[in-house]
Amino acid sequence: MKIEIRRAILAHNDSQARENADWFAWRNQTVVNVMASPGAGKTNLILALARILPPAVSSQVIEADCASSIDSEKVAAAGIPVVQINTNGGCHLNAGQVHEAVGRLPQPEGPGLLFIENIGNLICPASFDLGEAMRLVVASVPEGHDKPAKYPGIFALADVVVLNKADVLPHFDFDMRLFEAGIRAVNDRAPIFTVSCRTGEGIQALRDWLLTSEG
Amino acid sequence: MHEGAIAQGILSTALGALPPAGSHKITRISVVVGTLAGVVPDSLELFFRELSIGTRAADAVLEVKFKQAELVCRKCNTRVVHDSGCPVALNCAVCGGFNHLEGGREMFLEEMEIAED
Repeated sequence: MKIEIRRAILAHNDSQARENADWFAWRNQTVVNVMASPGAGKTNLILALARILPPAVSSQVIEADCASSIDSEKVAAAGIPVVQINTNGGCHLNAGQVHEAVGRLPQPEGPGLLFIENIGNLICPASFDLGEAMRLVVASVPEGHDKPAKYPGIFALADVVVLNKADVLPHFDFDMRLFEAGIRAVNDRAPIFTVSCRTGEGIQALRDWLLTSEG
Repeated sequence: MHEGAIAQGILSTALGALPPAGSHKITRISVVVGTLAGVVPDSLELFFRELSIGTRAADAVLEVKFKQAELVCRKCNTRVVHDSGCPVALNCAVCGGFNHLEGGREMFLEEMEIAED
């Protein structure tokens, strides 16, 4: 006997993600899912943004790594409430892990942003909705301009793309035109910001965009 | 290796769709997966086999139907199948216009077959 089902395979994760989204709304937080390959500068981008948020906008961070608390220590040292998730080899975050992590964060003081730094990986995180309002994908100059053409899945889902490490552009054969064309081939709408977390270039413009297009 | 979570999703969904009355086992499960969803069939099969041991899906054949993404030219509308093993072709082979990638991220359980145990 044949039974027609036509149901999303990750329906359980999706329903947990919807619960998370309600919780984030109740906490008055706009949640940004930060995704990139390892070493693109996710943590430094979060810190650079948090540093220049207006005083009325709170920030919190969920850090995810296979192992270690290196990133969460960095964030905590900047005075930002942070919790660490260690996936012990897991290649992505799911909505349940985020739900548990949010429970370990204090209630934010006023409205603000919650950054979720996903596992450094350009493939797996793209499949799992966390209940976020915004997906921010970071690429960096040393990775090369061909990343969107090689990993279209994650760039297709991005609400905003950030190209980090602009300060080293003169030292790499990075073709900005091909990078942008690669993104536009899979994504019509995401704005592209070129920044350097090291020099601070472009961070202000990204901050302004984040604050005006919350979700 | 996110196929583990996906295999668990397939298994839970299929077992949840079994008729409440009677003793049935699942003989075949058909899933539709986009070629850009990042699912490796061998890896999915491996996780599914492990996770299904001892369940009513233990003997089920897992059939994965891949759904191709397409490159569509913004200028002349030419459509070609995007080979997911290749980089995205930025330009249309016919007129040179910029391409746009469509589809390929689908991931759902389409149907299953069951038999009296």
